[in-house]
Amino acid sequence: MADSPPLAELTRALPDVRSSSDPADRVAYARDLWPRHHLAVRAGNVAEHRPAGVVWPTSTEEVARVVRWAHDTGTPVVPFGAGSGVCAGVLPNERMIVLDLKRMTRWRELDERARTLDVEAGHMGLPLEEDLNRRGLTLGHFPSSILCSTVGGWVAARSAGQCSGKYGKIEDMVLALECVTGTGQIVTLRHRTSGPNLIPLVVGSEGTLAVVTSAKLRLHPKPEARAFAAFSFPTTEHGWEAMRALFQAGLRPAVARLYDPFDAMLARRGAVKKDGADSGGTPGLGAAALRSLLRRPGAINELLEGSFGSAVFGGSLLVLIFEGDGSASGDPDADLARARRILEPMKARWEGEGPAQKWLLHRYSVSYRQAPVFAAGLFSDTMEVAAPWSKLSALYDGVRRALGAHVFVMAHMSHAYPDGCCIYFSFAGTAGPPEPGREGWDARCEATYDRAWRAALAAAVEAGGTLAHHHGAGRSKAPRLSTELGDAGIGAVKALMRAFDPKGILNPGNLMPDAPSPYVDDAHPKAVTV
Amino acid sequence: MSLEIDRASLLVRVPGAATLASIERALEGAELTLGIAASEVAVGDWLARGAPGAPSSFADPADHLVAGLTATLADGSATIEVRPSPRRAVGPDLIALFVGCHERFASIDHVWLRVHPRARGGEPRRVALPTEHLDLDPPVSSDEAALLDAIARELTR
Ligand SMILES: Cc1cc2nc3c(=O)[nH]c(=O)nc-3n(C[C@H](O)[C@H](O)[C@H](O)COP(=O)(O)OP(=O)(O)OC[C@H]3O[C@@H](n4cnc5c(N)ncnc54)[C@H](O)[C@@H]3O)c2cc1C
Repeated sequence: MADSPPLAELTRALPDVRSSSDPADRVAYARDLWPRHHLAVRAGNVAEHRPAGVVWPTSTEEVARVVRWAHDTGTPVVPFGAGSGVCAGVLPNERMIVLDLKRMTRWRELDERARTLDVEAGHMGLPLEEDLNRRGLTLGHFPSSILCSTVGGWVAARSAGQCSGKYGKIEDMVLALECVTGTGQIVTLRHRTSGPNLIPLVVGSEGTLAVVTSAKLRLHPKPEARAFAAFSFPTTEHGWEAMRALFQAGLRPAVARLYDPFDAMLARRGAVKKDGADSGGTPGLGAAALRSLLRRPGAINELLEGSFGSAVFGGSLLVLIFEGDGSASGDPDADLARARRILEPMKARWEGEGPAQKWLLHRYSVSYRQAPVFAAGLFSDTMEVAAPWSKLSALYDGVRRALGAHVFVMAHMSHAYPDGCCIYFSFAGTAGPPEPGREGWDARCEATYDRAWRAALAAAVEAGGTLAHHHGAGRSKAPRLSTELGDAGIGAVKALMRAFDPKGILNPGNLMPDAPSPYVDDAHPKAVTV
Repeated sequence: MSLEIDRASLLVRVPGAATLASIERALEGAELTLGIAASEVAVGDWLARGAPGAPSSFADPADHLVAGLTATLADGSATIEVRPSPRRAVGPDLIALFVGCHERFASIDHVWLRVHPRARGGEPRRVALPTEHLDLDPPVSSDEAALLDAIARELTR
């Protein structure tokens, strides 16, 4: 097949840079893992948003040459890590080139004394951590998607790992970033404590300010010892008060996960794999039953939420893992003993080490259950919001109610800080009644999906929370960004885009509240009608 | 000084013109402290200089110093509000335009700072690794300076 025009020009200009306009490649790079895409795929629109082609640079110089060419020719470029983003940060069109960083995986410099690693952006997560472990080191960054995400994607989307309680989020780990701006210039940004620090601007910029080509990251000794614990509480609120007490007392459990009663029931069962109605394949009887149950999510949510849910499922569950080097100053058993002293007067019931050990064993399994849910004719998604502790209750109730009117919802809290916490809602839903223009099953699922998201994002901002804690905004949440950042904040983001990328060639439309939104009808009104 | 304490979140909202010493005095009554040496410098100026004397963010990665702020652009054309949140992922972190930037882009009107209980029951606060081998204050490179110029230009365009 002849190359599409932008790619043909690129291969003429840069024949030594590996590229492809093969239809299979263009399909593979047409989207990320935004769950709304899965509905389109299920409806038969496998890859509506195919790029002109894909390039695989192997060095920063090659990235710079590609971007310089794109700048000169006005060709939009979409940086691509592993495509595990869940917010439509990757949504190209036939004029755009996807720039995949995955052939850039070198370790530039390991400084064992300072404990830092400068690593190229295309390095996949799990092999990086495994290689570090072999040297007695850890990055301490364990997103559930560690098997299918890259260093550059973590930085670009402001990722959070399961051990954020001790090691922080990715933005807390970056000492320097090498990147290529929208003019094709290679710049190195460095963390600075008493002067300007440009790193936090590029972290989280989701491919709109610069292509990240390498990151210098803080490392830690691989933990020598761990202490495991689980406690149950009468309600979810009792549980998060306990988390607050721990973090405000200065304790830093690497893992602190609080499950609401229903999620806790699943966690207790170790329900991270196999069986159940969402076991995949064609929708069977279980799926049909689930579909009809999910048609009345409000009633189920109400039933499970209150004291009934707590009584039936045994309350909320807090899973804790402390890590340390085993020395007197890094003794996880001492930390756990201290945690127990704090929690005992807080209605905590000791549940043993089992749930925490079981969680560690299956730590990456739970996230990969989405496909079977979609195969069953349903949909599922997650929403991660955050707020100071004083607003957590309003955030929890507001978002839960907003989502709960449309979909079945459960929640856990897995990223706590001294001043606040992230709430991670998981939800599943089904098609609503037919409406004009939305007659088919998948279109009706989309309608429910959109309503649930619109209501939940509005509720999050209304409660004083943030729209996203670690998945980023992408194109899916961009239409609501101004409700959180205000017009002045959006103005500042646009100014940054012009400063880094004067021609606006880097991932255009991403993070832009007023960009056309190809999927989300009525994306732009600020007043949200559900 | 108008000071708003969010006790549950251990945050305090103060005007940028308030001095660290006056904030510390006001916090005393609430059994709270900023946990840094209190001087007569205004908190807005102190943050504009990068918060000298504050612990490095790498010392306790799950904590932070500034949870939110409002700042007015240098040309007075707009006021940006970053609402308090422990962390967020909604694009670039705009706080970086104000902390350490010597009021080049904007001046801080109000800020949400982390505070600490005065009495911790005698048990030390557990933090991450020492940071002495990290170079945390390199000079600004010419590339970074050029980007800072471009940001200044575009923010007031
Ligand atoms: C099952 C599952 C579990 C998940 N669990 C977590 C979790 O625990 N924590 C978490 O934080 N996230 C999680 N995610 C979301 C996702 O994995 C993260 O957002 C991740 O950081 C994306 O990395 P990626 O390499 O796949 O980036 P991509 O999806 O390829 O890209 C994400 C965004 O960053 C941009 N980008 C990518 N690379 C670069 C670069 N080098 N330079 C500039 N811009 C770039 C892209 O243009 C896009 O806008 C999960 C996703 C899935 C599917």
